[in-house]
Amino acid sequence: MSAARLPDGGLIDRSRPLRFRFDGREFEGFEGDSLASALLANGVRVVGRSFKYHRPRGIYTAGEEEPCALVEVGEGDRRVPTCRAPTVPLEQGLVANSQKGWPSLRFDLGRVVDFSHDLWPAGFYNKTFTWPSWEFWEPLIRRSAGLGRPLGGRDPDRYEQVNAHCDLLVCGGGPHGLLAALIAARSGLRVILADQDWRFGGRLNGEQFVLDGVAGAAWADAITAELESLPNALLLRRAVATAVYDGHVTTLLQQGDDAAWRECLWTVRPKRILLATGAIEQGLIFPNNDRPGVMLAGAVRQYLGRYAVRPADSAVVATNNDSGYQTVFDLAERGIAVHAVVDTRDQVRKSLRRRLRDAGIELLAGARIADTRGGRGLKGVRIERLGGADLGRRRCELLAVSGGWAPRVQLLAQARGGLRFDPATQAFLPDRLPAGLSVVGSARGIGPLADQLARTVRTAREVCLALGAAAADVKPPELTASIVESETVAPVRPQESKARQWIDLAHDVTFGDAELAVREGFVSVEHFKRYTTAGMSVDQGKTGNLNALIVLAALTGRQTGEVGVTTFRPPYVPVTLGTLAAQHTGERYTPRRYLPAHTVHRALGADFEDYGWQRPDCYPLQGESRSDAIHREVRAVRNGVGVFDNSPIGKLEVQGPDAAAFLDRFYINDVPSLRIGRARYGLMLNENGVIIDDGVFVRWAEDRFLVHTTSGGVQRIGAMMEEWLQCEWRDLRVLVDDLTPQWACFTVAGPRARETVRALGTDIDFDPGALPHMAAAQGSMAGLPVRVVRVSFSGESSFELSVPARRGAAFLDALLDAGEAFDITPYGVEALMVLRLEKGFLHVGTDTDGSTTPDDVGWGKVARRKERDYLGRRSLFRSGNLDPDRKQLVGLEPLDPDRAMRPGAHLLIGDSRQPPAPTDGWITSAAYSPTLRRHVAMGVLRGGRAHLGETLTASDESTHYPVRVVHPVFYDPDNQKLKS
Amino acid sequence: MTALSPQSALAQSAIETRSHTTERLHMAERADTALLRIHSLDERPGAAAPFADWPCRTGASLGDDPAVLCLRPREWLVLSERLAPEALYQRFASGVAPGATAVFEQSDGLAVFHLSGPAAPWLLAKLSGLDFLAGADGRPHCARTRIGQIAAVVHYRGPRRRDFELIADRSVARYLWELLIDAAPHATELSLSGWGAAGDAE
Repeated sequence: MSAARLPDGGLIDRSRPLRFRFDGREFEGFEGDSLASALLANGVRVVGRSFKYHRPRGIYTAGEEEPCALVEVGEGDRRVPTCRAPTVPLEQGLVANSQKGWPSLRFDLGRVVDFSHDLWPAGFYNKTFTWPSWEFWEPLIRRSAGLGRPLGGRDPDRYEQVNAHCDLLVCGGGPHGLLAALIAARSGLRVILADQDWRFGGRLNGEQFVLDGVAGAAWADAITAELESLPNALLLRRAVATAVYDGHVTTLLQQGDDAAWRECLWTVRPKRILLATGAIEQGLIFPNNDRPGVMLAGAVRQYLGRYAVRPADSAVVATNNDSGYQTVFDLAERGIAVHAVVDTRDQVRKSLRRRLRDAGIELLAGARIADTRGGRGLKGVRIERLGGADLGRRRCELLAVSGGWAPRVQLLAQARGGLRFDPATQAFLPDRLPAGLSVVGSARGIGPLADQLARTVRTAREVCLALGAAAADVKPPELTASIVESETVAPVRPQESKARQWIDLAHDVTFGDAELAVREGFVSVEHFKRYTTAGMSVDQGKTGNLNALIVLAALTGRQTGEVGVTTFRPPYVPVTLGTLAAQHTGERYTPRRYLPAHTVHRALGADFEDYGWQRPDCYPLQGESRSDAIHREVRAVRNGVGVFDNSPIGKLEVQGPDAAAFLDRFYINDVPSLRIGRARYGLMLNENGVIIDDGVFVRWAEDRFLVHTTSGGVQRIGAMMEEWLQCEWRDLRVLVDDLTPQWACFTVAGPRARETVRALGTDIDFDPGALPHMAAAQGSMAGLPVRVVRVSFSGESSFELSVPARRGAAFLDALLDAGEAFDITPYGVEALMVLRLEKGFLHVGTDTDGSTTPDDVGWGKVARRKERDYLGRRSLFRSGNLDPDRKQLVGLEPLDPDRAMRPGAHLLIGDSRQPPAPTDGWITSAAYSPTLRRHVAMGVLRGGRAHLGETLTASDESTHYPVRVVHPVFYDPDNQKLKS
Repeated sequence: MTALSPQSALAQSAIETRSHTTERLHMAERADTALLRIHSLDERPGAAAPFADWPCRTGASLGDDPAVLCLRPREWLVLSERLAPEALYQRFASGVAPGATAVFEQSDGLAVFHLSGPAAPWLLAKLSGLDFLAGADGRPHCARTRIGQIAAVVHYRGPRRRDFELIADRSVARYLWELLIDAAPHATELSLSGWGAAGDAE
């Protein structure tokens, strides 16, 4: 093969050579080349192996529809698998590799699958690999059939996202997209024009059109330059519209310069969309139509015209429409021998016959390719009449095929536009357009460019008017030279009883697979697609879907239009997962919230954990283990004083004349009876009577409450209250406001807590008589306004102090200074969890789940005693919620006090039951109690309270041990410490 | 830090550098902005001045300092760089309708960032779905939106100042700041496109 660069022409910059490597070999291309064009120019014909059969594959197209030339680009962690070689711009030092073939692309042992292809028809794995199990075979099959390799480690590339709004989004930067964007931009509209290519102009870049007296590419460049000069036009290169959603929201995937970012996802919200997405040429169906050297005829013209690549020395062109003839003339013009033109049509235009005759090129009308030959490259074809009569063989290195054109209707279909099958062009065309979406150019169906441009101007002007702009007076460009263009396409007909005709090159789906699918009853287009997997590879069937529909129609005796199309789903091209995540990875995966006194905790040596907020888990001293630190902190609170940063606790201010009545509808507790300056612990339920949150609420005034929610529940509870106010209880005059971030909150707990807070200097009377348990006060401490609520989650005498957040760090410093005399110890979330477990305090979300009712946790009497209605009350009286066998919260002790218990261990009633057995419950919280010097736990147990004192079996994976059911309050059951 | 002195939202979360300036973008935390949130059961927080002409349409903004932002029906955010939080509170709390309006001091709860320069609207466009690139010729306005993954208020000061304020829960100030810093290079690159420059040019 002597493929080479043509001596002149093309849109490449020959003054800027670029070195690159493919499969370890060094090559040279030029600025403006694609990887595919550069490989062709260097005579590389085989660039990959096929998905299933490991057949050698070459370059089939010149665009994003490429089903064969899928390569890995880059090295190491920065390699990107399954790149379509025609869409990869050549760069200095680019490294690319084929991604299938072992031990090498040239000699692939996997090809054995091809030689034994009868064993591997569509769906073979569902039938064959049942023994010993599918799980045994699946990894082997996946390894053999997969495309590309995922990265082993973290993806080092950078991905971006951006939002944009515009009046008109033009998808497709070919002649029609450029013209429409120009009209809209000159009309003063905000326009975004996006194209998959790094050059605008579409097929003008490779075809020999002359518009307004200049070559097509130059005309495109001029329009591009004008658009780029306008501040109301945004041009996006290498940007493909991947999806259209409701309200015209369209996503664009833009490829970037890898050095800064690799991909960017644009979310565009245009008022209107104009699709100028063109059409994709389709192949023909004949035996062995997948060999390297078989290429779409339009792609051949692009490589000749745009990249000045001479893809072969000899060629045959097979077509069913006129456009294939332009390829013949383009090849001949560049000195490439065309040995035959094979046209499935009997009738060919006289002008074309004459031009062929003048050029001395043989025309075989009413004929088809019977077979191809060659190994790692095409060597020749055999031609026959449609009836089967042999027309002999022709030697060729290139077989350019044209089977018609499929308009790119994917985005239209996603936007719920309708399609109809057009027998004249053998394609599905736009039919019913959704509101605000227009289609121009070949995306409407093929036809002469001059006619299409005139129509584009009309459509663009209509769009401008619809958007309220005075449409600029732009005339369609005059087409002073054109090419052979198709207006009609003859039907593609597969050759019956020849199994090895490829329908879908990307997924190695053959005519034989289609026959099998139909034989097995998969005649619905959606079933057929899933059985054969046609159209399900990375190219989403861009060059194969139409042929699959034609084959299905032929095999089921229907017209293609009757078969219909499968659902077009986004994305139109593959989108890297990294692009969907963009910035939101690693540290920014979710927002991290920082406590007002974060810097103080850091200085104290806290171990931070993400609980929605970065919170101190514990404060290990030098050389101290985490568990030792936790136990030390617990002992400090029990015996002296500790301070805990409780700032994340939810703080909803509820006020208004109806505030008490409003809250009374949420809590199982009595709200109106709460006195001013007092606090009460309450539970909130959903409509099913299930506990959704708990906390203390405080009454500051007759019409003003502070509602504490769980740390993670404040937004949810606030939103729920707001929803009830706005939607159901509009008669209530209540305001709900979340003030959580406004206040830093510190809990001072322990026998010496009162002395500590007094030492700060305060005008609040902390005497137990003045501020008893569950009382609240406002005043000042350390010169700051402070809110004090005397509540306890530790079981000790405890004060929650809230101060303005900006001074939270300073206040904690002051508190630590004041508490130094009492050996104050900061304690973290872990110690708090041990303290509350010792005390038997419920932790919503840990000891409860999506089925826990108040009765399950010992609050049934309170809930039922309240006669006024509240959310979930009615559900509490349903039979299921009254069942005595419901799982109830109990305390648990191991018979062996040194036996550690783990949350999640299952409980089996009876001391000798062994799993497998239906579970009777499970441990919800467990810890070693440094206060009691033994392990304690809480759990939910079927009919739990009836089993107090009994011994059960706890089953933790393969370990089983006896535990005793006890009352869940392990520490200070009389609340003497709490109230001291 | 002197005893009980206030800490900015970024300092709170251990971020030392609180401004970022390039040729096309300036960002800084405004730690001294006083903020007040007013939430009313009625259409206006009070009948007399200064509430008589307050904006009642969601997204409307009135005044420069203090600036009054209508966040949603019957809820406003008031910002001032000139007044101390206590003074701002006193100025408005006394005039509200008793029993029907809640006035909350929010200087401690919210963080304020100032963004300006040609890349500023692109930076916001990277993080929110609102249209920040329509040009800077619009009137001052505000919007509650999602920035990255958090809720924030964006305040556009209008053509005279041509800059933005970003107001969010102070506990997420570090996340927001790091997000802005991280997004800034791409926003700067995007701003070179000239898209939206027509509105900016006045």
